[in-house]
Amino acid sequence: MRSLRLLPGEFMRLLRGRLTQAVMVLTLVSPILGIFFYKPVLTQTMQSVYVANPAIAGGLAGYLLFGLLTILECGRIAKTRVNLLTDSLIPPELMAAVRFSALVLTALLTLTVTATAWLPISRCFVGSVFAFEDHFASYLLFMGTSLLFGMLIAASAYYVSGSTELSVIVLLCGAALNLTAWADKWQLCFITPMVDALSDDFSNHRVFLSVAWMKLSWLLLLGGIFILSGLCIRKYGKTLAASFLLGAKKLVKPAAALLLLGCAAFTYLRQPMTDNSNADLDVLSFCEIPYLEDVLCTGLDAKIVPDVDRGTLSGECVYRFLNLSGEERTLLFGITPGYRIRKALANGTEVLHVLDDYQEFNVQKLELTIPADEETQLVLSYAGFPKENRNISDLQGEREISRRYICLENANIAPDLLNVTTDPESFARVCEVVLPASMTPVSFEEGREELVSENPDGTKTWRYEGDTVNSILYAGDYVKEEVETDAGTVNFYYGAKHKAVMDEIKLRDVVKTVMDYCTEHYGTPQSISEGYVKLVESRIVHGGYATPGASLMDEADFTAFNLKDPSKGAGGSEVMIHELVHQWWGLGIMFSDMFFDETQGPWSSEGLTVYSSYRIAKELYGEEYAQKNYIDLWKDNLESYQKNFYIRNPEYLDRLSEDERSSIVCGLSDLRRYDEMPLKLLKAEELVGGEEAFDEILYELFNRELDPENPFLTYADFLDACGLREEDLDLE
Amino acid sequence: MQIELKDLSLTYPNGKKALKHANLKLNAPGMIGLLGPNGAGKSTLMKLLVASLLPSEGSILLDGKPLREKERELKQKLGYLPQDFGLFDELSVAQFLDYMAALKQIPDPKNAVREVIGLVNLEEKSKAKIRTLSGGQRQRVGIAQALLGTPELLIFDEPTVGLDPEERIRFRNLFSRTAGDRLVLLSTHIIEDVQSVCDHLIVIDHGMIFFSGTPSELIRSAVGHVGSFIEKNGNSADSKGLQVTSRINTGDGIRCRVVADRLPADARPEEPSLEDAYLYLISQGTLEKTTELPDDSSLKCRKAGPDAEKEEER
Ligand SMILES: [Zn+2]
Repeated sequence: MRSLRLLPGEFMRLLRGRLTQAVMVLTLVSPILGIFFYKPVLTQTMQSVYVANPAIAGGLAGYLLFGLLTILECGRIAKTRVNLLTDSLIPPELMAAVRFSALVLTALLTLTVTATAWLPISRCFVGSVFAFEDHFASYLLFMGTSLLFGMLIAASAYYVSGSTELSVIVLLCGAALNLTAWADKWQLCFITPMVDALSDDFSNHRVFLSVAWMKLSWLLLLGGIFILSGLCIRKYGKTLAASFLLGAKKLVKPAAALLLLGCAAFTYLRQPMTDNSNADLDVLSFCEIPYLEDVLCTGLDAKIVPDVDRGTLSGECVYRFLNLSGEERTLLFGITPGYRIRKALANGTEVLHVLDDYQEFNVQKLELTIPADEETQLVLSYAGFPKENRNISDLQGEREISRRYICLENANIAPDLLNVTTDPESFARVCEVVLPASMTPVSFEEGREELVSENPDGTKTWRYEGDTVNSILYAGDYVKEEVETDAGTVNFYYGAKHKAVMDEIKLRDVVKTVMDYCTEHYGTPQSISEGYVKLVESRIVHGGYATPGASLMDEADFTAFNLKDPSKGAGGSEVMIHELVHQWWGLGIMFSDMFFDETQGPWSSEGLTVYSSYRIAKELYGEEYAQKNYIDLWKDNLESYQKNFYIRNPEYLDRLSEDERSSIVCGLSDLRRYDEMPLKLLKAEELVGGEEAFDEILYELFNRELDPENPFLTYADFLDACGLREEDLDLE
Repeated sequence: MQIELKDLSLTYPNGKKALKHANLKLNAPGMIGLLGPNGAGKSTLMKLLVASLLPSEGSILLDGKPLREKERELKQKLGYLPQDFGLFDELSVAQFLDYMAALKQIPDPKNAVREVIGLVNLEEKSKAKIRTLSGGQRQRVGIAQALLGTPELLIFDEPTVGLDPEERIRFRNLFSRTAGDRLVLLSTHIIEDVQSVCDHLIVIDHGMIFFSGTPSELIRSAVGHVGSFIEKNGNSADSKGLQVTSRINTGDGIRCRVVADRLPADARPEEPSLEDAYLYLISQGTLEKTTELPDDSSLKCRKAGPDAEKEEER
């Protein structure tokens, strides 16, 4: 209470200091570092680039600036001996608490001003997909907490050591550890949290949840240390040890510190965000479990209820088994870590079930025994928060249950069968999902989503069907555009926030153009085999995938940033053409560049995609346009790159820093895939006798028989089909 | 208010014994002068009184209760001017005093600040940043903050350091005026500061209290130990091991005024002044010390200059 009364005076005094003012101004402008220099979030959604990166960079700068301010304030007060006056009136530890609170208040004020000042800037850059709540959550979680951590570490170090130099070293060590050894451990990089992407079109709830959890652990840890270090503040002219013993006499503070440290350890060790999947990715023990020969699964009815406020899910599955052995059989299920089994009933009788601790590829093994009856109806009910795979903890946020977005896969929806196959004749899965009324479900398969009921609590129950146990479900604020094309009906589902961008690039026209052109020239992709396809935009998943009846593109393809990428086409519509052509070259036909590494040659899905986009542009806008915006552009890019000093003299590359080197190497690799390869393809087109002949070859390649072991289209396959040798395509 | 020191000792963590078995009683109202050479233990005693230090042995009683129990009460009644204190340079005089008034929880800070600024004669500088002030002006700010809120107990450690002679006289008068019904403790190594204003004197040296009483009692203790003689060749005071308090050129030669336990035969007895009495007391103390502890390093420190005390205590 007393400290509260002293706070305003201390706060005003602090604000009047020039050092404080300098730190505040520098912190205010520091987010600019995230736009130009320090860009830890690599995914190029608009909010990653203009909200997450500035906030994280601001956090790093603020950690250092406010840490230094804390140390210098403590040091200055001791050095100038103002403390002789204040200590005679207020006990030094109380005064220290007041000073620290004033610093926290200053940081809070700075954070508020920074977040507010950057709001119009972010909003202007991000455009129509800007989200206020993401902006403020980023500044609070990514930046604000880091300021506080800087101050806690700085003050603790100073209270213990009494030395400004030592405290600065401790502060810098914290930042150095965060940026090096701890950089790829999501629970340890406490200043610059690991964020894969901030979504523009969907929700970032799960990302913020992870960061908040990590920050909470650190807040508890640093808070505990801070209280302990506060006991070391020298009083009555005593030494460090004597002061500590005097301070610790009242047990409240040490007890509070120990409680905080205990909670920190608990939240660190028992974090609910990621699982304990085996770190050895070569171990596939669940795939090696032999199937039972005399048991078949004939059907599955799943009913799931996501709790969009708590991020959890509860579900009940009814599996129907045909047991021809005449004996009891032990079945193995794959459960998502984080889920608990509430009930397991076989033909109405409770059965014993054992959930194994071992986890592999985000799956945990459940073991239970069904009776000898020929037909068994097994009811499994389960609930929990779906944990993500710890081996890809840097990608947290892909699995999500929130009010604005849901993405659930396989065992997240219904426990997977590990040692039972489904009856290929009769197996049917029916899923029912209860969603908030504002959400549109998209099941990633052929079956359509039907509305079953509108419930009194404002939710809606949806049903969708399929013929596999596994399924993928997206739900969110989706806009659905139905486009009739020569290949069939395309239902394009994209995030409502993206409507303005999609309208601008005339999405419907683009879809129709690409679908018609590619179907005519290359054939129908597997995903449209039934004359119907769902084209789904999802939250960032780093790529896309296709299945019969559905094809996925993540939002990175549609960001204003990407739509301005000149290597993919002139203007948003043409980039969109490029991304849609990937339905043929990339998804319809796979290239080994899915596991792309920078050192490999120019052959990739991009070459044929860029080439096909050029052909479409030529058809749409004429030869002159295509020559200028595609062929000439490829040549210019190649030429200017070849003029680059380091490309002509690669022996000097070693003299550059690793970042500069990798940017040059990356640039070269992009250039070879996006500019060199299209030129080679153009040459091939010429050599095989023109566009028509070349299109025929591509048609053959697209529709060739696939080897399931190695489904990739290689450069050699392509050259063979053209009857050419590699050197035939050398560019002069 | 009554402060009582009972067998009070303080040994610093570095082993230096700064105060040894001090016993004292201080009663309000009163204006008490704490006299002693540099490094005598004055500042240590004051820091113990304001609870900035804890005694190694013995205790301090505030109105009969141990100080540790009444620490908060003491701090609410206290105005303290330490030696070598610092100020917040970025604040103006008025802002700094406002800040201190907040720490002191003074109910009407505006008026209180205006009042003390007037008392120390800093009206013209009240809006000036502290970094622009002279040494004397800074000292006045220090005095002003101690006076804020009319505290019952005022403790000034060498308050006149850095002030010019005119200001010194002004402040001496200010201290005696502010004393009123309060308890004022003023430490100094300059006799003039306490001569006219203090009704009680304490003399301290080597961490021990040698005297506690009225100024006239101190003077009386030196009667018969002050004399003077004309210095001639081979008859210098130094060669006789006497403590010289002044040398005056006269027609007959240089007249030396000396204090000594036993005056030389040729010395003319003189009426002791307060300074004579103080020097006599100190010389006696030093003599005892020298015979008692010939190797005590504090003796060397005493001659090391005005900063000696600070260095010893850090
Ligand atoms: Zn592409």
